[in-house]
This record gives sequence, structure tokens and C-alpha cells, in this order.
Amino acid sequence: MSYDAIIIGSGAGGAASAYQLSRLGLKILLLESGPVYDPVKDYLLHTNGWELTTFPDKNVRKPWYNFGKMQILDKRHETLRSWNHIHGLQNQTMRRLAVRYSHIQGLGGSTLHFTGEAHRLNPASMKLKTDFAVGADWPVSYEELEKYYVQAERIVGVAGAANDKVRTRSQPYPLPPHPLSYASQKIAAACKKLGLNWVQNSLAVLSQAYDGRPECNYCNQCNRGCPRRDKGSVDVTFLAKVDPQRCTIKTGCHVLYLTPGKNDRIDGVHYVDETGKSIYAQATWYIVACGAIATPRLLLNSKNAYAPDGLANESGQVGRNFLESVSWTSCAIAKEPVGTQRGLPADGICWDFNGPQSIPGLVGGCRFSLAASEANLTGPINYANRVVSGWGIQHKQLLRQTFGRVVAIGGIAEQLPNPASFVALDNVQVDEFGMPKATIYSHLAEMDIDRLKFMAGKTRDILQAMDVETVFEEYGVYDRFNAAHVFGTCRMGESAQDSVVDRYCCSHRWRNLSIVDGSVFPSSGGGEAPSLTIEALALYACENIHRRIVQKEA
Amino acid sequence: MANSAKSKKLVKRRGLRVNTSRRNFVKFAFCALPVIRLWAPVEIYAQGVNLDIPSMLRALLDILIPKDTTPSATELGVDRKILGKLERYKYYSVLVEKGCLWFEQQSMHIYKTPFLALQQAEQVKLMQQAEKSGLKDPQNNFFRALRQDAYTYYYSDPRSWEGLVYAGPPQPSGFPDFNQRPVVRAEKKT
Repeated sequence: MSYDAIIIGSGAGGAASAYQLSRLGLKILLLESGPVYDPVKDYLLHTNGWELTTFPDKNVRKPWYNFGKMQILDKRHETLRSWNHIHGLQNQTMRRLAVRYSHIQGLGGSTLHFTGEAHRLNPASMKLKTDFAVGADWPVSYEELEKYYVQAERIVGVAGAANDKVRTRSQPYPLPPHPLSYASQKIAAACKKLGLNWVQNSLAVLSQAYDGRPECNYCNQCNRGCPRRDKGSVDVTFLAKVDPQRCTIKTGCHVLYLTPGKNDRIDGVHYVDETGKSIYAQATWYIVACGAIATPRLLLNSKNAYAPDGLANESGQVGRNFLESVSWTSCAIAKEPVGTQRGLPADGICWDFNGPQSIPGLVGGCRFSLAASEANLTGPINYANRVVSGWGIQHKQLLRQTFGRVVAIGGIAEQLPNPASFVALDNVQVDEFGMPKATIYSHLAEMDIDRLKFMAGKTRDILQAMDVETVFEEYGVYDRFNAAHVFGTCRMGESAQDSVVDRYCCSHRWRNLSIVDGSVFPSSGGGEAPSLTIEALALYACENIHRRIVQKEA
Repeated sequence: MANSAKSKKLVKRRGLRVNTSRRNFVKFAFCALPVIRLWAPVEIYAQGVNLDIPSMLRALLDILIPKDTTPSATELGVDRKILGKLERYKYYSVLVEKGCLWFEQQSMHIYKTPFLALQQAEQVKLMQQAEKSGLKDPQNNFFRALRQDAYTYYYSDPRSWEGLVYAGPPQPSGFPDFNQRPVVRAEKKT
């Protein structure tokens, strides 16, 4: 069978691409390496043991990535160590610990477990090179993306308030904002004392019934998968809307490599299907959307005489410029019950330091939001194990007094590219298909660490302004790599010399290859969640792909 | 029944034979001594020590989670779940054996009495010793793992939730009162 386009990966970028191209009348094959998740059967939030797992990952594939040597920790930064009042330091060594790259392989990708935040990028964060002589500029402007943001917001159903003066809007949010939870109201009051603005977050979670899906019932467990389908993960939004006559979706299909061919064109894609059968598929256009670790891995593994350094790696930038979420969380016990377990994981947010020059003395911004749910502090098991110390009768009594009193505030900040952060192929280790594993090399530069210090200080200030009883746990990426949002490894740019794809997410050289995922981000923004921007970019890029296919430019 | 049958199986590990059933004790033979010597502080008592791991776990678990207005750990079957885990994971069974042996040896060393024959106050003192020992000590590893698992299994049982301001699993009801001051007393979901 012949396709107009083959899309590899079904997360935010792949799903939005499948939606846009099939809507425009093209015939698509969407390949996903993971399984399908049934929100009703697979998500366990109605069971007594719901707290025993986070997202119920049913992918049985063996690890496909590992880590390079992590950096030595510095005694000057002891205040950034991750700790818990019962368990002590979470990393007992003096070297940064590689915990994991937090992602989901499955139809819908990591949107299956995302918090639901639907952010537009701060336009000022897209011009770091021009304005601050650091990082790289986006070759596409916020204004060019704006109408695609609107389209994406309508498809996923974003609820938000008109409280953002930085990101101008041509249309209002499709849905009214969610009210702040009681815990969030308390944080808002504390922020007000400090002169900070704690506002309603924009979320791809339905505040009213919308598009055949019900409104949220505020169970606070978006990260464990939404059984009601009110969270706008792409499996229940973009992919639910694709025409099955035009879009063939195959799950359990592991792509090994694309085949570079003559005339700067990709000839085909080689994958192993769920039965173990090797298949070679061809199309007019190829879109890679596997995320900022798996995408460079696939491209670097797709080398032959036509592309001896790996596919689309003429600039040598595939895998370089790796950016991660620089994050910090402080958790405390409030003096009164706040009902931690209720609401939405990140219903409130402080954008005051989001702009690239908002943090005094530093370049690159950050944001703060509610974090108890992401910290997995919403059920009795984690209270018993992490919040309440001791054991015996006293522990039981203390747990009864403490449950529902945790408040947690998290910060996420920009990371600037540095030469020691990159993704490469492992020369020795391979996955179950014989494909080299990706090796993640991560390094935090001094300014990243300074941003972490700023966030740690600010979260502690807010908790102090809340007059909490005690801070019992803090953790961040200084001593533990644990990233969900990753970027930059196939960045977009105007010049073929220092970027992998152009302003339309098309390879500078390869005439029928595009990349649409977080890997094309030249900068990460000041803590914005990336899924909405990836979706908007995909919608934008696919309009161009459609035009080029129709006009036979490919 | 299945658990009981499983727990009666003799599990062979590292040359030690440990009976995980209640009634059948197995004495450590001389062949075990080189292994014990590596980490046992008072190895003299290891000779001829009878380790009834299920009974020791039950005693330890009910020290960690005793009965008050809610059931004790063993009343909610936490011991059976831990024994099940012990049979599934070799590393865990080694950890538990080392931990129980430490308790037994300390008991003999300090009180000249087997652990299971101690008064509960004395057992509690040994638990406190294990908790306060160094992070790399096997008894501390055992204590932390047991505490973690005990609370994990215990608080996944709805019978443990009585008295908590916790209304049960997040779905299907959610929390429609999420933006209100929380109620002070627990209300069961209907």
C-alpha cells in the first residue's frame, strides 16, 4: 500500500500531524511502538490500590536508553540536594544520579500521563540569541504560530482565563477557567503577601462538557491517566478525530531506521510489527515525531552511503543541544487541612518570573505551580511512607491528623544549551531489536544551577508565607536527573549550518523529511509545558507538507 | 490456601535452607557459618538459631502497625503479602533473612531470650535499635524496607482508612468540593 505520509510516533507531534494531514485529504500511516491504552480498563483510579502505581505503564519493551556519566556534585550547592525528613538524602553519593527519562510509549505518547497544562510559549523566550546572545532563536515567530495555537486549543479543549498579558490571543480560550482548589487558594493568598501573582492555569482539562467528553470531576490524578477522557491527551482528541479511511494506525511497531536514498529523498522506513515481522514501508513524505531522545536516536541510526553521519545530520547537530526541564519542588505540612487530594494537579500558576530576564542576574525564566499531585502526595500510602515519621500507634494517630495537609510547590525553569548535554548512540549496548541504545549525556551549567537556587528560594518563601508547620521533603534535578520535558536535539533554525530542520520543521537537505516534536525547539521557554506548542507546530508544519505534496515538490 | 501451601515450600538460597512455614524450623548448619560470619555481629548465637520467619514478620509488623481503632497489620493480611513478595524476589528474601537473623541475634545477645519469646516492650526496643543503626547496616535496610512495604500494603486496604479524612479512591466520584474548605471528618463515598 502506498501512503502520502508515514508518521513515526503518536505523541503530541505525531497525533496532531496525523490529524492535520488526514483532514487535508492525505493518506497516512501512523506507526507507534507502544500499545493502545483503554482509559476505562487500564487506568486504575477507581480501585483501592490506585496509589500502588503511577501511570500504569504496560509497555513490556526493554530499556532503549541509558545515561552517560553524570556530573560531580559541588559542596557549594548543598541546599539543592534532594531529601526527605524520614529517608534522608535521596542521592547518597557526590555524583548526580540518573533516575529516568519520564515518558510513555503508547498511542498518545507522553500526553497519556501529562498534567494537562496547555501553555503557549512566551514570545520573548523565542529570541534568546538576538536579545541575550545565548542559545538559539526560533525561526518561526509566536505571531505565525498563533492561529495554530488557537486550532490546537479548540481540538484538545483548553480551559483558561484571560490573565496573560504576554501571550497575545486572537481568540478566547474555548472553555472557562477552572476554579482554584482550596489548597491553591491558600497558596494564592501566600503569594499575594509576597507580591506575587498566583493565577488560574490554562489546562487541556474540560471545565465543561465539550466535544462529546464530560467535564472534569477534580480527582487530581491526571498523571495516572484520565479514565473519564476529560483530559485532552491526544488519543482522545486529535487521534479520535482522524478519519480511519485516510489514516491507518499501527501500534506495537518498532521503527529501526529510515533509508536515505538518491536525490536527497528518503526511500522508505524499516520497522518490526507487533508480530515480529520485518516490514519496509514507503510514502511520499516521512515525519519523525518520537521525542527529543528517540528522534535523534532514530536519525543517527539511519545512516548509509547517502547519509554517512546519520540522517539529516549534515550540520552535526542531531543529538546536540539537549535541553531538559530544570525543576525543583518543596513539600510542606500546612497547619490546617487543605484537602491536598482534591482538584487539579496544577490548577494555579505563577508566571511572574517566566520571561527570559525575569530572574535577577540570570537569563532564562521559570514558573511556579501546585505540585502535590506530581509529587505523588495525594493518598494515604505516600503520606504514611514519606510525610509522617516514626511507626507504631503514634504513627497511625499522626497520619490521621496530617492527611490532607500537604502543600507542595514546584518550579520549572529554562535550560540553556551546553556542549556537555547531548544524546548519542551507544556503541555497545543495543535494544531487543539490535538497535543501539540512546545515551543521554546531561550537564547542568552554573546558570542552570543558579536558576534552581532561585526556584528553591522562592518555593521556600511561599511556603513560609503560608506559615506551614514544617517542610518535610524537597527534590530537584541538581542531584537527580529526572526529566519529562526534553528538547533541542534536532533544533530548527534558518541556517543549515547550525540546525537540523528549517522554519517549517523540514530537513534542510532531505526533501521529504520533517521532524515535529520537542526535539526541534531551539529553546525550552521559561517552564512552559510543551505539548500545546508541539501540537501547534505540527499543525503549522503539516499545512506546509500538504502544500508541498500536493504541488509535488517532495 | 494457596499462600499457605506456598509458604510451606522450602526455599533454597545461597546454601541456606530456610523454612518459611510456621511450624517447621530449620537449624542453620555449619555450612551456613561462613556466610553468616560475613555480617553477623554475634555469630555465636547463630549456631542453632531457629528462624521462624513468618512468625517474626508477624511480630515485627504488628509493632510497626499495632491495632487501635483500626486493625493491626496482620489483621489486614500484610504479613501474607510480604511473604508472597519474599517468595517472588530473591533479593527481598535475602534482606528479610538477614534482618530476622539480626533481630534474633540481638535478642539472644541482650536478653538471652529468643525474639519471639520477648515481651513486646523489649521487641520494640530492638526495633528502635534497627531504626537508629547506620544506613548501610543490613538491619537498617531491613527496617526501612519493611516499614515501606508494611505501610504500602496496609494503606491500600480500605479497612485502614477509618479515621482518615480520606474518602477512598479518586474515581469514579472525584472531588466536586475541591474548592471548598475540607471537611474535618472522613466521609465515605457512596
